[in-house]
Amino acid sequence: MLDKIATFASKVGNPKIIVLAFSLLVIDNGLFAQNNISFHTNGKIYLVIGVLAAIFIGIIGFLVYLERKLNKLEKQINNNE
Amino acid sequence: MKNHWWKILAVLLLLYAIIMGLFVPLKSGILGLTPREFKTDQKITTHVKTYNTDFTKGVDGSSIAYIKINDKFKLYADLVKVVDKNTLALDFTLPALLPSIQKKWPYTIVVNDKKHGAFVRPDAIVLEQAALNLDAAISNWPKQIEKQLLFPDELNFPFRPILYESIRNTFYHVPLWFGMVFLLFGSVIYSIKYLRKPNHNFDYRAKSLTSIAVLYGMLGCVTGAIWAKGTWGTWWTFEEIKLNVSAVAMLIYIAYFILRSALVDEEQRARVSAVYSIFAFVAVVLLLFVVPRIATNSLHPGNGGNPGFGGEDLDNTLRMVFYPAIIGWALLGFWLGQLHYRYSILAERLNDEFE
Repeated sequence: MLDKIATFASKVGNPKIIVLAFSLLVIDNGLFAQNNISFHTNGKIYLVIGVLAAIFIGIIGFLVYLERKLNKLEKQINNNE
Repeated sequence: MKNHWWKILAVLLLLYAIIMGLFVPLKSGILGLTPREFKTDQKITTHVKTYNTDFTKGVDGSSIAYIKINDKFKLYADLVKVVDKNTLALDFTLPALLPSIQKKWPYTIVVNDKKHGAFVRPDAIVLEQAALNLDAAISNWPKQIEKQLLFPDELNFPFRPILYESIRNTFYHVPLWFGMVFLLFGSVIYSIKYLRKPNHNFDYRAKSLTSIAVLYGMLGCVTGAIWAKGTWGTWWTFEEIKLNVSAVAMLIYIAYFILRSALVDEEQRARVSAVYSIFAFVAVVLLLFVVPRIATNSLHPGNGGNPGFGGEDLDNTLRMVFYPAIIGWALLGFWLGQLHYRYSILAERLNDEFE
């Protein structure tokens, strides 16, 4: 997938994206090459990413819910003062 | 800071679980053999496609491969050659007769070298013999030198067919359910406290912990569905008892909130929901941890008579990350629950003041 980003970046021609994509490529190769893990093969690593993303979204969702309730509370305090 | 040590512990444990869980490599494994079916009494060559290996530097003298006929008899490969980075070619000389009572049977194949360790694939190679003669097969079995298996001194998670890298979800999907049970247990403690001494704060604590437990349960369902889609090929199936009981557990606790919202009188609401929460907890523990063991045939680990926490589903390297992950996720749940509780009592106090 990262090589796709790299080719996409070179097509787009935006220097920032190109730098980002290639630094991702470097990190990707540097970190995983020794262990022979390629994070973009058929190893089903996307399932782990998906699960972590779902948990992250769930916890952020809870924070948003709590923040909205707190907003309401603050409004209540301000109105009554 | 004194009262926040457990929050720091939660963050550290979760960081450990995420970093170790993502970066410890899997063991090398065998994806498959091509071709995989042979008749006996001939020289054969088969290609072994492997996972998480690198043979580009060649195989050293320690590389061996054998077909495991049974516990007593192994057939070693004559030659192990490198085809490409992840593929080996194995040459075998198959004798006419195999010391096996099966005419045609899938046998286990084992490949080993110092760098990658031993990788085993059951039912990998199918051998078909023309006749069955156990005594003749044993007496004619080729003399071979028994070779020791070598293992690298590295930390690796087990390689499991179908699961592959997704075995790492053991640290993210499973602890949500454990965390949910801990949170519900905490809620039960506060419910009992409330029944002994009717203080509204206990009721609010019980309610907050239950909300986070339901959040965890729902996340457990969603993450389980993602994992199931990639391994079983379906988001959800009603043939799996574990999935059914977790859905029922969710419904029981959704009913808890419906019950709460239906009762207007505060004291009555607190008392009724405290009693309900105690019974619900007992029911959910029975549903999640006892009922699934009755199932005889299940894809989900932890079912069918024995708990799933053994064998290759959870080996010692997985345990090293799994247990800290459980504590980490549970503590994070208590943290979220505490925030919710603090909001609840503030809201209540303001309502009392302004009304």
